[in-house]
Amino acid sequence: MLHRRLLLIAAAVLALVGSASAAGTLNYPIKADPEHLDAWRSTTTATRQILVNVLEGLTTFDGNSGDIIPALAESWDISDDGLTYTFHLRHGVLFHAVPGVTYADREMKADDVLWSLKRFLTEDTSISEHPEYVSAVSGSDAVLAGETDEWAGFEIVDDYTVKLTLGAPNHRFLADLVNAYVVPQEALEALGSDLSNKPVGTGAFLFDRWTRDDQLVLKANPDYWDGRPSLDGVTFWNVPDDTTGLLMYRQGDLDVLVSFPDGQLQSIKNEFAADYHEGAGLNVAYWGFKMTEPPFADNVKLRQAFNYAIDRDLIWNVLMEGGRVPGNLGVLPPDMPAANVQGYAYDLEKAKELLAEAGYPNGQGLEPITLFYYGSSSDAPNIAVQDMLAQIGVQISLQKEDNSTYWSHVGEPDVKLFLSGWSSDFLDPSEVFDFLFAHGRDDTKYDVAAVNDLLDAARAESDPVAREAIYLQAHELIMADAPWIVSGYSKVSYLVKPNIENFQVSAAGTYRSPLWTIEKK
Amino acid sequence: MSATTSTVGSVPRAVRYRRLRAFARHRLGLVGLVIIVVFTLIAFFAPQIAPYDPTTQRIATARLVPPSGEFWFGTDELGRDLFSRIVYGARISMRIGVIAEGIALLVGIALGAAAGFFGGWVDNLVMRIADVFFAIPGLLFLIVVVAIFGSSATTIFLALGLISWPGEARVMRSEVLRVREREYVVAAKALGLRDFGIILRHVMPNALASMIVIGSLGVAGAILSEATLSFLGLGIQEPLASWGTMINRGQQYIFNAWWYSVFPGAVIMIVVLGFNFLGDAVRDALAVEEGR
Repeated sequence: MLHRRLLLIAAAVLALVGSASAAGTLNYPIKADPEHLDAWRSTTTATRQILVNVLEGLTTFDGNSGDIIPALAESWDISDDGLTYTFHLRHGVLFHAVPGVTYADREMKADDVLWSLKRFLTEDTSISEHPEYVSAVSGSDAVLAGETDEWAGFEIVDDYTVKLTLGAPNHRFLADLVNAYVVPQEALEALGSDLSNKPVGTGAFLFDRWTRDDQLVLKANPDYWDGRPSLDGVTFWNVPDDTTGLLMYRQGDLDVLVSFPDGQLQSIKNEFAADYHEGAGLNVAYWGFKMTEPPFADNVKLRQAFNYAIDRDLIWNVLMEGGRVPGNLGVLPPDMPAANVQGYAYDLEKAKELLAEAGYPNGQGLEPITLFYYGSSSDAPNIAVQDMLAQIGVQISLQKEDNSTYWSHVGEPDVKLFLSGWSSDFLDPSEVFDFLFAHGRDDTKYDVAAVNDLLDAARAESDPVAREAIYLQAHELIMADAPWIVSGYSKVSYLVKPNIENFQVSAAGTYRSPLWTIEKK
Repeated sequence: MSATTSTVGSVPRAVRYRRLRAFARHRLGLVGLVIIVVFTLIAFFAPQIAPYDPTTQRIATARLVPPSGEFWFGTDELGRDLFSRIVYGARISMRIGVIAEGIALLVGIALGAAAGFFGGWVDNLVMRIADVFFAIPGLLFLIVVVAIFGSSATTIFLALGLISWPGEARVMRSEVLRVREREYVVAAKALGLRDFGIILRHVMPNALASMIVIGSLGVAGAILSEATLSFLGLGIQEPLASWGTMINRGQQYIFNAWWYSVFPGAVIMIVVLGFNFLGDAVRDALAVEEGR
């Protein structure tokens, strides 16, 4: 009798413990804290990764396919001329109930959309870093220039319908709106600049707390329009060191692992055969030249010589054990349209020849160049590049900087050769071209009129085949100019515990994974 | 007259002999001395000792090769010979250790001697500044300095030297206080010698022994600090090889290439032990005189 009672108690305790861990929280690693969590200034994957779980735009990407699907807009109509977009907003979407914010009307309506989207429209980068998300809407130039407060192309039809008129057809408009988050104006009024660190929106998770360089906690939004997520919350753990991450995953302190220690890929695949998944990614890593500064300005042969001197196969297939696909094609991820161009395959002799033609035979006369790279990147490829360039007589010194210093420094003129990378959100060349090769926007300051014109033309072209042809032309021009040394294209590879279901990863990478679909068994 | 003044302040020959004997009896001290001499020689003759160029990469042919007859300490992920890298690393680590501590001693002795000898407001000022420096967390200071001025060997040993002088200054000051009222100092004063001369010829020699103790311990500390900085990725930049950098990069491979971080780690341990042994032995030798 006593035994049976004990057993019952034990069973009850077990059930309690079991359910507590099953309902649970997802433990997810991040390599670096986001710089901020500002809806209008999110540029890095570190900020995006958090924000996509808290904030929403009118549209979003399907977690698996990357296609555009409805989010805050339930549906939309596009006029035949491709100029007018009518969005029908979802009914009953409530903004997050968070301490310190009181709402006159908690429901998300047309005026909230207008206010949020319009806030993107400014040249003031302390407010918005992405006017281009909405600047296709007609009348944006006047608002941007500060001439008027009236946004001509934005019309509120009723509380649940907005009509946006574009100045010209733009095939990427729906994709741009994905990251044009809708945020309640009351939150900005109540929280002020605090809103940059405590995002408030409509997403499946609420922002809970953030201890810098330790953990960032989201919890389930009970009022989410698509139903409360199965998870109680998500804890993003700051794990800058990949070996630590691996140990934590092995111990069960992390449910997912998205970044692995250098040179251990093979042993990880062996150890966690059932947890390991891999697919093609949308990130391109590159070493950029500063196109406006000597010695790289106006010396295409020098840039090409550097390109031919790098053995990308050796770096990615041998040194990094297959961590990326070697960057032997162009500047686009290989799965994109217009990606198939002639790259710079390793050719030492050609590199030496070009270096001589560039005016620096055997590197003579060329001042030593500093190659900058950032703290969370792997040292090894950069050290290998240093050695490869030494083979043609170019002296490189290496300078590693911690991430936050790095990203504000890299655009400065004294940084002439630098490591960088770019993650596209979806399979369209504009994702790379418009951000990195148009009008000197990128840290390379690449700004070539012929390329700018082609990119403008492609954006307005609605026929996909014709558009790809234009992009291919632009791509070839860019490759001939060689503003980059393409390093490699990402693979999306990750470990996920068997008790985690519905973890979706698109080619865009793990940083865009919708965590609210996950179930923890 | 001049003959007398020159011997008045210095250590009597008998005491010196007894100290030397005490030091020689201190076996660990001898071991420490040997370690330091050996590693100093390694640093000086690195090009002759190292079998390979420490920066030559063999990514395709000899990546992460375990210790063997060809590569005694194995190779790193870029196929560089770790033994050669450790030999060359002695240049960086030893140089940073010695120069950083040299700076600390120079500043510490000068300020400590001034504080002890003059007393009064000079003493107060120097010691309060020392207190301020004591209150600054050393590693944090180093990280900030490196972040601002970049991480070259010069920045690192300057910063290390400037943060660690207060300990040296305190010891120097107490040594000076100890001998200041001794008869020979009073006599030298009475004879009209100038302050500077008295400090240099009569006070310093008596305080020097304890400065050797604190100096050798300080070198060990500086080597460790450099290793810590390099371990954090803020130290000497690649492809130069400091021991700390090697451990840092090696720890990523700890599960499949133990030699990568174990050998540089062992070397740091041995050298630091060497300096610590030496410091202990000198202190024990001094205690002979004190115990008289």
